[in-house]
Amino acid sequence: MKNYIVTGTLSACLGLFCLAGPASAQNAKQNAKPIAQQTEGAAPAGQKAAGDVRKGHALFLKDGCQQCHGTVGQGGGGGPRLAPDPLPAEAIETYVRNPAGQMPPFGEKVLSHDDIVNIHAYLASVMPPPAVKDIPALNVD
Amino acid sequence: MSDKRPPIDVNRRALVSAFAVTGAASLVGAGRAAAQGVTTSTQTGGESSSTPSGNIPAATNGKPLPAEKSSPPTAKQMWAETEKPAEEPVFVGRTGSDYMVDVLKALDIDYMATMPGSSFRGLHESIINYGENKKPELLTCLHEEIVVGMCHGYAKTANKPMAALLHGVVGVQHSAMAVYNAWADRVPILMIAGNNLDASKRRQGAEWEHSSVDNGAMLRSFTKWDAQPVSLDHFAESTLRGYALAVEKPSAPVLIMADSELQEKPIDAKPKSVPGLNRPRPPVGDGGALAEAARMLVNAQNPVIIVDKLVSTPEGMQHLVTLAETLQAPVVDKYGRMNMPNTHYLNQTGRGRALLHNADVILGLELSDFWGTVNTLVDVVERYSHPTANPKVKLIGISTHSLLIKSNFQDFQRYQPIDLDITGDGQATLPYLIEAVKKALPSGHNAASDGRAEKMKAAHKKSKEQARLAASYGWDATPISTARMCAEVWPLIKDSDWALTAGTLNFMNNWPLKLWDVTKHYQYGGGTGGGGVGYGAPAGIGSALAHREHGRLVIGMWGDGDLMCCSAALWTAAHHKIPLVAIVHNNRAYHQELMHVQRMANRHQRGIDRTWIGTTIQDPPIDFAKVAQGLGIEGIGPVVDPNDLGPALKKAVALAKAGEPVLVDVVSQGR
Repeated sequence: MKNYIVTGTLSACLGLFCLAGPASAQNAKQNAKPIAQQTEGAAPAGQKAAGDVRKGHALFLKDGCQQCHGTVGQGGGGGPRLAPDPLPAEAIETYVRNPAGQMPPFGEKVLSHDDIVNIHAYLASVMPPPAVKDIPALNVD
Repeated sequence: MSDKRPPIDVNRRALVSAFAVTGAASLVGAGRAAAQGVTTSTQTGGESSSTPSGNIPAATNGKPLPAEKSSPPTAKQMWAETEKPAEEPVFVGRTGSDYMVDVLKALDIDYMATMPGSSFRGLHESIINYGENKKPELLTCLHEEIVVGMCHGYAKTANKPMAALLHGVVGVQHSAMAVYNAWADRVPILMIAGNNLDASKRRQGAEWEHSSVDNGAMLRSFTKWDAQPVSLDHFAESTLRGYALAVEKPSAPVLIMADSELQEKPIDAKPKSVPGLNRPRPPVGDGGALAEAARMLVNAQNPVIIVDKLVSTPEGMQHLVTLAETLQAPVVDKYGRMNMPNTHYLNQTGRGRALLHNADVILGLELSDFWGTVNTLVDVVERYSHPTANPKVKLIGISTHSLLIKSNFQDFQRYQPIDLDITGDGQATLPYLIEAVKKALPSGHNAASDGRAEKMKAAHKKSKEQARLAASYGWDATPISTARMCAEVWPLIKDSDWALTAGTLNFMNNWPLKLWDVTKHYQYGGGTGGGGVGYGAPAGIGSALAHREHGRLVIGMWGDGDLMCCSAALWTAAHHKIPLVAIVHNNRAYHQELMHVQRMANRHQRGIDRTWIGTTIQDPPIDFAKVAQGLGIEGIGPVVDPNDLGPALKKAVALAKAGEPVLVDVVSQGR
């Protein structure tokens, strides 16, 4: 038997912090390939940022970022949206070293400065989603 | 549970029947071997022999002699064994269990879920034959946790209890976690369990193992009441009392034992009357206190109404809307039930945190956790808490929460000082509070509330737009985002009379409540109550059963780990033709627990490379479509490509509309 006692707390508190920038510039068309595939290799349409996108993507998956923040940083029940248009790498590093809310801290032994730069490069490479007006399921009244 | 296998009956009648077929001597030996350790006395043509059972000649190495080598019975022996003693009846007319059915029928209970057990065989037979399997109709389940889970979901949807029929001891033990969920969720269930009180009448073996002097003790910390009646009159009174107590607010499960001797003993053919059923009215808050609450709310600049397990009727939802409109106060719905239509501009749940932070008066209606509403505890090495509401806020509580608290299990949450704590059923009290508020308004409105309406309408519209935008992120991602998993359902159900059933919706970021128009109280019944995993499928199918008579299209959204605890519930949906679309949020992990272990690993700076151990369900991945097919329902998936999701859901909805249960396995984002 298991229980879910902290679910609400985790969700609520992580929801306080949105680590991605404003959404206004993010409504661009995207092709039908899974984003995880699109974002491998050189950043195709997102920001150009320092760091290695491919390594950053691998770290994003390996180090558990996607567990709370979604497979492509879209946000979820456990954590806010990180991408596209992430906050600067410096801001992300400051936060993950000493989170103010319920997020687990990531020390340098687990996640180095270079790792964070690479993860940021990956997040910056994530393409904007389709515009809401172009998603039929989100335009049903 | 040995007696849930085909019974090996070693009583006299079975032996007598068997004699006629294969010969007396060998069967006496076999029967004794089965009886193990019991000394039996057999009359053989006037000669009496007493032999310890299992006393088999050493030359056979402990095995009974083959039948063909035994001596055939003589005619005299056959006569002696097949002659029915004059004093021992073979057939009976009515028995106590028939009267127990009369009692159940007096309660107007539609369904009784069960997993069969010998301790209630008399009642079982009376329900299906004497009672013609109507009111209640027996539903076959494959685990007692499913039995009670179905009752849980049914009661929240039907707003009336369903009954559970449980085997003594082991069946009650199996049911325990589901009972705890229902207890914490304040849901009424009438549980009847078999027992063999009279030790001198128990068969050897299982009837001892499955008997108890106090079955109720196992559940007493999380049931409202239990009884072990010792007569039929006692059974009737206890069952009626128990039903009324279960329903009375705050509602909760009750357990009534049905003694096997009471079930199986003959009774007079003459009908025996059943006492009348008490129907207690819910407790209502004190009038003076309500007047004071009304003054506080009317004079507030930023009042907020927050609701949890409040609404169970359409009138209840309408009363909440009326109160909110009268005050022009925003409502934050914690969705313990579907309380406030999410299309109403005063449903400001998406802005809950900011609203509570700025509130000067907070009215809490049937909150399970007032402390956690205005405070939070941070899960760090040295845990600390801090208020999330304005420290000067005035709190008003209307609830029955304090009327049903027991010592052992801590589901009652942390103590919170409340400025005006009113004991009463929130839903029943609402009309009186509305009247008090109207009286407190000098001329039907006040300046503060006049200015709020337009602001709330704009905020509500913005919240909806933000939810749609948020849902668009990761739209084409693989694994499929929880937002898309939920959003793709809406176009397929919006023109139907639909309902949602789910265990822990915040594992899916509450997307259905953000993206779908939820306007009726029955469209969502809230979560597990006690957080016990294994709620989704049983409660969802119980809920779907209650929706079935209304022809509603039911969508179940269940986690993969949760479903595997009680996946056998799918068979009950198939067997009893309970239609629904079960969507599996398949993140291939006990994801909540995975994150907890990651938190610990990070805290120790050891990395999270090994945190999958003991938390993930992916090697091998479970094929839920095949699980469903094996249990007799259509299974679709696994759906991996987001572009395949819409067509899969469309097919599933069509099948459910045609009256079938169907499952769609969606490989999806963690949370």
